Amino acid sequence: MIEMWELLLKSRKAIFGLVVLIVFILLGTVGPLFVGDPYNMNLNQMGRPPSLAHILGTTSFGQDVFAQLCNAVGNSLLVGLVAGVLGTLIAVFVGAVGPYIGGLADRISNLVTNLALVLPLIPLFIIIASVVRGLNLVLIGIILAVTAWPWAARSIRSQMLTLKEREFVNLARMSGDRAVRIVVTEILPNMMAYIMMVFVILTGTAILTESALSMIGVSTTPTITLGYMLYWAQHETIVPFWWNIWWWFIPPGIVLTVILTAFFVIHAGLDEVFNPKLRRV
Amino acid sequence: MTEHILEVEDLRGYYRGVFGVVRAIDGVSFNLDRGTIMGIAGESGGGKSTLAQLVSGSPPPLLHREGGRILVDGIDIYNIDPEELRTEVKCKRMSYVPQASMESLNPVKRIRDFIFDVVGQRTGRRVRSKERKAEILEMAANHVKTLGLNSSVLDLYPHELSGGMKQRVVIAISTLWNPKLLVIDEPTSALDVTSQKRMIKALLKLKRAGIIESMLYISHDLTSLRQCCARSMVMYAGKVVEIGSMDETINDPLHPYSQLLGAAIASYDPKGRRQDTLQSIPGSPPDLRNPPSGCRFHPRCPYAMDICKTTDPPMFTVGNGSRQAACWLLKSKAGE
Amino acid sequence: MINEDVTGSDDVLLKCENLTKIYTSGLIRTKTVAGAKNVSFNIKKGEIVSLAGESGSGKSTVAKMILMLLRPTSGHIFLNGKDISLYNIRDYYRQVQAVFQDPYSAFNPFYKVDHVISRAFGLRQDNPDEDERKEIIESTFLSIGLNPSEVLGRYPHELSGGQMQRLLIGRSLLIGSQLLIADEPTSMIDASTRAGVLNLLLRLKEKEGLSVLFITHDIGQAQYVSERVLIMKEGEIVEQGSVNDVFTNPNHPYTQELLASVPSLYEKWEELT
Ligand SMILES: Nc1ncnc2c1ncn2[C@@H]1O[C@H](COP(=O)(O)OP(=O)(O)OP(=O)(O)O)[C@@H](O)[C@H]1O
Ligand SMILES: Nc1ncnc2c1ncn2[C@@H]1O[C@H](COP(=O)(O)OP(=O)(O)O)[C@@H](O)[C@H]1O
Ligand code: SF4
Ligand SMILES: [Mg+2]
Ligand SMILES: [Mg+2]
Repeated sequence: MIEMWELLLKSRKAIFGLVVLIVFILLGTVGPLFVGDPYNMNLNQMGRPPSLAHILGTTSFGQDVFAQLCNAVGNSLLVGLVAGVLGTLIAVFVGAVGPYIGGLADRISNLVTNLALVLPLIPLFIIIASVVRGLNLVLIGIILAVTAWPWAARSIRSQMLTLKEREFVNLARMSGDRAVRIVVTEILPNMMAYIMMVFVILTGTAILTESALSMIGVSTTPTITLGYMLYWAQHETIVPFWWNIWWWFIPPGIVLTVILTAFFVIHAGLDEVFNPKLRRV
Repeated sequence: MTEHILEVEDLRGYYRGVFGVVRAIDGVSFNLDRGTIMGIAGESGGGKSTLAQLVSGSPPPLLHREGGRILVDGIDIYNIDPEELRTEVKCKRMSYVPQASMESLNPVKRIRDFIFDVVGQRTGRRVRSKERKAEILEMAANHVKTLGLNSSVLDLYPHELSGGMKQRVVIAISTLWNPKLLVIDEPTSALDVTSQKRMIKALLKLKRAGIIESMLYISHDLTSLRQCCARSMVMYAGKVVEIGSMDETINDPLHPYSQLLGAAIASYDPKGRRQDTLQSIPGSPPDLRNPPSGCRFHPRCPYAMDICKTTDPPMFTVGNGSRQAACWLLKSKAGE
Repeated sequence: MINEDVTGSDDVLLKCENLTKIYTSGLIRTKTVAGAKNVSFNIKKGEIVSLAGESGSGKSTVAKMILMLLRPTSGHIFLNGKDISLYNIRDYYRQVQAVFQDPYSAFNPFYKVDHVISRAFGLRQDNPDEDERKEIIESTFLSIGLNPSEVLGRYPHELSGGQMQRLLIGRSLLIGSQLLIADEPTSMIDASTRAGVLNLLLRLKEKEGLSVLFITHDIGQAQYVSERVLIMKEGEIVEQGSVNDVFTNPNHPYTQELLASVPSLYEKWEELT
């Protein structure tokens, strides 16, 4: 256990990614408190380039881009977090509990996973999003979670199958422990590395999916996310050519890229730390 | 071309971590001749697996080589770039099968698909085309057959195989590229006598079929080492205590530790049950974070003398030069 | 020879009657494997019985059924004359405990080894407090040659195989078990440590009247440690009797074959060289 943290701290990649992410988390949580109302349209200041008053300029509605960006970072991370946490929970539940109990429970959970894998869930999501009104961020996060867990459940299942054969599980049973307690206290801690990896991937993917969907105009909610900013930057320009208002779409674009890169780098760092130990032939 | 397939010179390998510095390999030197099988015996925690991991060229994260050289087929494996190590040494010249490696088979993949993954990883190129798959399967089937398994095991999942079968499958995969040297850690320890016998036969067959040339065979089980190794090396607490031919080490051990190790084995006697109590070596192996001064065996050695507590015994050469042991008792016998 | 009748004598601790376990696997094309077929034997109080056979012969299956980790397909197990399915789980585990083959997998790498010991105290009825626990641990561990300060507070990978196996034996002594199921407890540890564990089992049998089912594939160890031996093949007990009879005069062809494949330290198998 100690070894795991120590190794993690040794991985420059993981540390680098984490630091970048923390910066954005701060920007997204503390930032909005300082920047004023991102929706406030200042009709005298429409489509202005960066200046001292508006460090990233204003949108063509006269809204402050930096204020929007801070809110967008927070909201996008929120979607990612909701999807990441929930998706991980579902994956752990389906991937760990069924196989631990074994027999019919395992077959059912395996079947559900495989079905979910072959169902075209993303298109389904697009349809839901375009039909249902009043989607909020949490709901979107939930839908993304529900569509993204199957592959994770599968890899957790294979971990579970090896771990549950370990003798310490039998020893716990022989101390009179019940199944749920054994899964939670004996088995899951040993899968932490894997679960962390799943969480990182699910969160990163959810942020990307949400942005991609809002950018093409599906799932547009009145809440500002990075994808939302990109969508409006493309569609509502008072100036004839969109590149004339570069300060509106370049910041969210860069931020999105950097956040995703951070997730990718954390994932690579985790992989580097845990994989050589997990499979060595 | 040197006459040795493996040369290890004054090797040191330490684990560094929050627990301190574990001197798991501390000044180990030996050579392995081409075409020879050498057995490495010793107590649990004595550094056998650590040595194998160092020889493999990719020690695990906390293990560091802190000195010494390892030459595999004349190539200094810690002095070439990683890419060359991967392409020139690993697979072609040397293959390493770790302890408990049968657990590394992917439980949710058929053996054949797992092999494609391994080949993909090793060559840096994923195996996709039908022809390449067929080619790899043919190689694998050939090795699997040499090891005494039916080639249909390639279509099975790991949980459908017994421990001994999984172990042999892993060996087949590791020797896919016909390495000159096979470093194998405890291949028989988890197996029963009948499977042990099969495994040892399989390994010997691998050598006879020319798939491998030499082998470093690690086991704490002297009895099974005895069945297939020509040379032997006994390790204690991170050091080599005795090197010699297997026969001599068993029948006439030089070092007190080797003697006690032989006496602690409960062997089967067809004539009836033994009446005396088995001897176990008193005390426990030293904490390698803080090894004893002088001879590392002195706290447990029945013959310990004053010099043993202060000065580390060098390797004394005995007889015609093929036997060496590190014990002060041999100072007078050694031709110095 | 088979099914020596010791029923009725009251020093029988454990009695297995026609234990059978059929494993089914596969989702659509189900395969069945008989892990154990009609296994019957007794273990008396203060006796070490060896169960020997090659891997896959069903030794662990029998062990797991006795440990209630597997439900028998048919057959019964009695502890002190009472069917084990009638026991309260915790009462049962207070009397029957186990040591497994792979010490490294018997400890959860996530926790310090103390975890296993403190969980074991949960089975005791007397609920000792911190200080009493310390005392109990101290005296039990010293009796089996373990220095508590040397093993407690450490992670499993920081201990040697022998220390871990002793720790597990210590655990079952803490619980106060009468029967220890030792499933190949020495196969992953080296000879000198192994001799220590075997001697410990013999001593506990003499002093504490502990009964042990010693499962092994190593004939030498079975011969050294036990009075009676059961030879298993493909789920069935093919021969049982006293160690001296079975190992010097094997009746069943399988036993003869098994004894012939035992490697000896002092001679090589001819066909190999
Ligand atoms: N990952 C690790 N971190 C710290 N110390 C370690 C680690 N792995 C091994 N050691 C220590 O290094 C020493 C040598 O261990 P090694 O695994 O090489 O022994 P071994 O001879 O192969 O034993 P066995 O017969 O049990 O396989 C021991 O003292 C052990 O505690
Ligand atoms: N969980 C399981 N599912 C299916 N078959 C099993 C299972 N466990 C053991 N077996 C089979 O039962 C037989 C006996 O196995 P086991 O009791 O583990 O033998 P031993 O302990 O003697 O090595 C073997 O054929 C094995 O493949
Ligand atoms: S050098 Fe001394 S202590 Fe070491 S083995 Fe020889 S006699 Fe024993
Ligand atoms: Mg080892
Ligand atoms: Mg078994």
